[in-house]
Amino acid sequence: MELPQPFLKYGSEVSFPARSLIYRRADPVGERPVFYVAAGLIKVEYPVRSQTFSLWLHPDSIFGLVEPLADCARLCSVQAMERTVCYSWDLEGFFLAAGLSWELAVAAITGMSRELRTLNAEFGERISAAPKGP
Amino acid sequence: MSDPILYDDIMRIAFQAEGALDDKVIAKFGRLFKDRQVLIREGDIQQKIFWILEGHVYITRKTGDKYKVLATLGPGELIGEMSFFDKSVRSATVIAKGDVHALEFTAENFADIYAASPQWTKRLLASLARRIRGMVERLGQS
Repeated sequence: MELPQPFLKYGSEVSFPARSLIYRRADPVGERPVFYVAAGLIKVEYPVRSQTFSLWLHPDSIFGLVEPLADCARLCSVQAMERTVCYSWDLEGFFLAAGLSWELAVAAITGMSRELRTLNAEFGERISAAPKGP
Repeated sequence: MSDPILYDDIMRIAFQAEGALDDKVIAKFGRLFKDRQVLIREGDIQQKIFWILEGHVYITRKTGDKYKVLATLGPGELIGEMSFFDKSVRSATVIAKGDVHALEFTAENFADIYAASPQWTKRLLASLARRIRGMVERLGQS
């Protein structure tokens, strides 16, 4: 089968049915923790006290990179909202692929920049909405 | 690039990172910021990128007439790369916490550094991952 992107040959194709959980918060990262969304729709949920805060990922997005780089268990839960096809790598394999593909490297950095920007904005709103002390 | 000497220095930074930080490079790109001086202002569209050598900076957002601290970053961290990659206006104000010594790059210089060596992909991703982890932990407590 011809791959849509040459760098994907270093990843393993994995398919998720609609509404399936890919991983949940506090899970260990596993052997192939980094995912590229080839097709489908992904929902990322971060815990915010008793609530959750959601991000949506579309094709060409990358997820699962934060925790192996920050050396921690999963910080969020990730669910496939429709049938979704991903490619997954271990961290070393991802950097091999990113070394070959400028687009993959930039997509990863851009995606994480947007994620951090969104989390910063959410945090900013919460602290500005928090009740003032005496 | 019109200045081959500048380009040589940029390539040394790209491939050697900290190993390229000699007096010549620091004289060319180095900048000192005084306590409370603003490096980046929320809402601006300028695309300078800073590499902190000494000191710390506050990453802040303005709420009302006050600045709320989102994070504090120190030596080795890159500042301003988010707007460079996702092509957005500055989303935070960065303020020196005490005296700060940093290298200051234009977007063009930084693009050359980033494109030349894969180590910058790892460096940028690791920095973003640490900051995302920190923010998720703070959100869990907010």
